[in-house]
Formats: sequence, C-alpha cells, structure tokens
Amino acid sequence: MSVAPPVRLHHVGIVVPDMAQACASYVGRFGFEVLSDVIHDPTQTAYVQFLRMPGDSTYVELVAPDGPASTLANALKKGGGLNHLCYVTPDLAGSIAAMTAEKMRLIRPPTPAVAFGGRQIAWLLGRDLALVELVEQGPPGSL
Amino acid sequence: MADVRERLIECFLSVFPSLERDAVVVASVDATEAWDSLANFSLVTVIEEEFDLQIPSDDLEQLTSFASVEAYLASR
Repeated sequence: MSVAPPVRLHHVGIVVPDMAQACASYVGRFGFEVLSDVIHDPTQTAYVQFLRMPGDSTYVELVAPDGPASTLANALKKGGGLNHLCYVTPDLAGSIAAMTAEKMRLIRPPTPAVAFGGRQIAWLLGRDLALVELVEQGPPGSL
Repeated sequence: MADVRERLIECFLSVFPSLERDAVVVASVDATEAWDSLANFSLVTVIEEEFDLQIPSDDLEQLTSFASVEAYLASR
C-alpha cells in the first residue's frame, strides 16, 4: 500500500462579491496583510487575491467571479462565504491517487494556475461535499 | 420504486434546497439555474451515499435531469 504524500493547509477560499471591499474589510477588521495583487485566472473564471495574518503560514484567498458565466457565479448567488480548503502537496499525482482511493472524486484534473505561477492545481469533492483544492508545492518564498 | 423516487427527491432537495418538492421531478440541467457542474458532482455524491453505489465519471454526462437519474438508478 502506498503512503499518501504529506499535505498541509495552504489557504481557505472565500467567495466574495467585491474584491476591494472584502480585502479592505479583512485588513481593517482582522489585521490581515495583503500578499498578492488581484490576479485574474481565466481557467478558474475568477479573480483571486491572497491575504495572510502576520506570522501565520496559511493564507486566505478571496475569490470573486469574473463574470456571470463564471463557475463561481452560483456560489455567489448562494451568498458566497467559505468555499474551499486548499492543501499544498509535494506530489500532486500521489495526493490525487490517495484521496480518490478514499472515495473523493476528482472533479477537475491537474491544470496550471495563474495565481501560482503556472504550478498545477486540481479539485476534488469529498463525501461530505467539502470542496478541496490541491496545489503543487512551490519553491521557498513562493505563494 | 416509490421508495426509490422519494429517496431520490430527498437527494435533490439536499443539493437544491430552493426547489419546491413538486418541481424536483421536472428538474434538469437546462431548467434549474443552480444545477451547475459543482452541483452535479454534489448530487452524484449524495446519491452514491444514499443508494450505496459508485457512479463512474463516464456516466455523469447522461445524468442531466431527475428523470434521467431515476432511469439510471433503475438500470443499476
């Protein structure tokens, strides 16, 4: 039996209607630091921006649909908010194999992500209907 | 069979809580705004749990309405 690659929580994805307003709220209300520009990822049909609390290693990813046809449009119609958890892995294929063996379904196969400099991401759905993103581990200092 | 239909209706209502019970049996990808790709995967996951079966990914494209899902279950 193969051993599942170790993963760690990379970010919590939160769907918001207005990126600038949400960012200002997280910074002003909780003291988050802004770690990235607003990034448009056409593959994900979304705008994203990463924030982090000083001293923490886990990010918050603010996510907004890039238009009415975005795959996130329905999530926003339902009110937005907590959308997914993303785990970083040193072995994307190995993590996918381990998670699908645990009855998670691969709903979007590995694809390069603009927000991560072209590193691959994949999406899975668990039996608890929790949406999970996996991202390949990057070099030190990368998002 | 009626039991299967009722259980299937409950599956749909758990994924599409805004649907009226009467509207579930005519729900389809085209007619149900909330039925996007993620909802489709969620629906399949809930059905797999409820009916203790595994639905291959290759079969998902035929599950585009309540009627087609009901027929699919009858064929399994």
